[in-house]
Amino acid sequence: MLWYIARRVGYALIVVWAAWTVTFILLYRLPSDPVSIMLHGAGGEVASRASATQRAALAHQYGFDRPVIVQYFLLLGRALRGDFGLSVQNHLPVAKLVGQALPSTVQIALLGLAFALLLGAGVAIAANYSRNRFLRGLLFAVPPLTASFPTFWVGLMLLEVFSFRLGWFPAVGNDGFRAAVLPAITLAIPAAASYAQVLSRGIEKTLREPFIDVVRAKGAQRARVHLVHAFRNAMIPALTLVGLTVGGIFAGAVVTETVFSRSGMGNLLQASVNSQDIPVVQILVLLSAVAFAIVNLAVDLVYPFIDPRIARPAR
Amino acid sequence: MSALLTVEGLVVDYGRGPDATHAVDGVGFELHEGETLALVGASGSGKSTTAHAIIGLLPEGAKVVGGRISVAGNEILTLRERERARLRGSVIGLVPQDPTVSLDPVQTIGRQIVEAIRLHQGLPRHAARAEALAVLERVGIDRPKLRLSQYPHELSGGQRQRVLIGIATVNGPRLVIADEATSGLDVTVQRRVLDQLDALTAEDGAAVLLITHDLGVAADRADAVVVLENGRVVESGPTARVLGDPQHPATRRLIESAPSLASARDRPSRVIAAEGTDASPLLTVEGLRKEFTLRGAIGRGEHIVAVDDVGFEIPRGQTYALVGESGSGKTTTGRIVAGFERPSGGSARIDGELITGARGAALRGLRRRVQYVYQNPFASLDPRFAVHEIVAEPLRSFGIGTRAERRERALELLEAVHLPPALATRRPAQLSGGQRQRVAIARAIALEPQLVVLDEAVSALDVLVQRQVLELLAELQERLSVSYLFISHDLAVVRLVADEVGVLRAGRLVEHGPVDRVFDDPRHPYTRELLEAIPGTAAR
Repeated sequence: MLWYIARRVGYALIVVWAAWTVTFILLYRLPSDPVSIMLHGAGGEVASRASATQRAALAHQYGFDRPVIVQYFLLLGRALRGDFGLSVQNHLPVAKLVGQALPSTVQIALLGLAFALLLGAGVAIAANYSRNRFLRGLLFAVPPLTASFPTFWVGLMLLEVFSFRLGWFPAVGNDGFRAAVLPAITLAIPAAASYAQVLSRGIEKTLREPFIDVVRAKGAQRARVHLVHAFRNAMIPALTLVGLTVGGIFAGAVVTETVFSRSGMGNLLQASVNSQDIPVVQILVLLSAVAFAIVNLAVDLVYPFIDPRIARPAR
Repeated sequence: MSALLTVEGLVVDYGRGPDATHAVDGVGFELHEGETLALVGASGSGKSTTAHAIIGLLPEGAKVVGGRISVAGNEILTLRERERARLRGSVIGLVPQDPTVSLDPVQTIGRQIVEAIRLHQGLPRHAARAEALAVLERVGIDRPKLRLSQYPHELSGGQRQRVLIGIATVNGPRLVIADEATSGLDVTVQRRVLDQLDALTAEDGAAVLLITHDLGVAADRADAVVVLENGRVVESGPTARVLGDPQHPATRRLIESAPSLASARDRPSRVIAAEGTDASPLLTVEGLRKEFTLRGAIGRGEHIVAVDDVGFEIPRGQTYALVGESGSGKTTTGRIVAGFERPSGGSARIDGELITGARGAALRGLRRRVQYVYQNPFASLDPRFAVHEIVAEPLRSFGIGTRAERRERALELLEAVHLPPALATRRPAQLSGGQRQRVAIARAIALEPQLVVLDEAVSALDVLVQRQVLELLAELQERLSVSYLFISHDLAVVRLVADEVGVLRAGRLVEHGPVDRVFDDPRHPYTRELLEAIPGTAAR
């Protein structure tokens, strides 16, 4: 078990390191001139006015005049100490910019994940538990349908109904829990749809397994069969999916934060990409890799508790 | 004395409306306290459906449309589902068919026994756990305390079946239904498990309903036998009378097909193809050894010797059987011979050419000469392929013939295994178990191999189908002069098909020789133990 944990943590670190390295190669070493990009990012007139000496000074400041491998370790070393450089756009430390944007996005991401899990599991369990043919068919059909709704449209619909018509939640802004509810739901819906789909198929399949007959032969009532046995056996593939959809939450955050006019990572990402603010883009990519690694690490560590066969292979 | 279990005019339909078919069509019988009744019949005869109707666990699509079932005074068919659930486990216990898939894979053995106890007895958790430990001791599992915290995959099939018997009997049910409960187990394990079931039910005076296709088991264990065919009772009565003096042709067919009851003399005397052909053996296995390293949770390795100094020869056109319990190394030996696995030592040669250690093109060439047929024809056939595609796949992988020629050849092969051409476009799921195994055999002979490894190839089939497949194998052997390595835990079947037999125990060949000699005059005590464990020995 200890070995299992150590290995998973190792994998997570490798994923983060690899993501950082790939973004380094993509953003700094591709056949383009990072100095021009940065100057361009700082505004067209700046770029055109910059002299050769100024360009050289800038290249020196960022270390572009050194060998690639030195640049790589230099930047990696700084990154490990938490120094991610300055934003090209406004010369603020990147770490500070991101630090300001992070909490609001993490708030809606976590809330969205919680909504998605509850909604997905709820729909899947209800779909299988229901004996009413119509309700059953409906609950099996709804997830694939909602999975195809575009995020911005879901966001706009929610705004229309719950903010403008009913006035239950604020339409825009970053203040507090109430403002986070609608963006979180917007993020949750596509994720919940795929969780529900995988879970309901999984429960359906498990219910046909021979061991379910034995559970029923013991005298277990329907609810127990569904919740204690079928649900738990169906969780593994759904859990894998949770790990994989985290990346999507970041992508969703860009759209969601725009629709709800929130500041946050999505917002910052959009602005930085538009102005080609390389250091900021790099840390944002890195952060989504970190989020991906952390969630998948958590998923890997939860697996053995749900399915003992993973950490305790048969003799 | 009134009967504990009464079934009257039971009718169960599959499907609904005009498409409905009677799976069970007017079945009736009685079972008294303390007695054992065997419900026998070929697959599809309705015996399992009857059992499932009694415990109220019919599969989706099946529906009781008529009749009456009474268990210990409870009218099962008029009860509400909630009340029926209360009878399950407390009044009626079920020992299921396949122990390897019958326990929840993600819960400990202890939890699953505790669940069975607490569903019917108001015991606190710790008391139920103590009771669960007592259950494991009662069913004779070694290291019961450890087993409580283990998961199903950490136990062997026999151990899991004991757990299931423990679960079925923990609340002292009046009726225990054993649905083909030991069909998948080795004969020795089967005997121990059935003894256990006998002992537990005798203790409480419970009645046992045995569902089986193995008349040997019925002969040994049952007081009375009910024979089913096409959902109807065709014959019933005391075991000795029904099996000793069968009246109905269906009963006679079952008895004739039962390998455990057939004597060796019934075996069609096969002409050994010796007409001036090459006398050198086709397959030569020498000093074969295979070690596995088990990786523990912390990473320390543990060596297991699965095959230990095994050697034998198979002449052309003959059958060599390897018998032994699960874990004796027979499948590992078969896989090495087929080139799927490398031995840690020793060699296997076909026609003088080394199988062990062959790589790349040589190994691929060997695939044309050695083929493999598995126990579970469902798992070894791709569900998305049509039958003719499955059969023609080996031809395709070796680039033999055009598409049209391959299709033609596939139809010939299906004919050779006596499958109608109409099945060619079906998918495996639409075939019966016996038909699937014929498809697997057709695929195996597509490349006209010299040797086919048959790994428990008929073990999952019921006796009638088993007999037909064995006859097909004998016919193909004669026609194609192919050799078989026949791997089986069922000694009765081995006697019917093999020329020579080797008995494996813990990876070692403890005895081998011509099949009649080994069966009539076993020299090793282990061989004797295996022979005695064959069900139906007492009735012979």
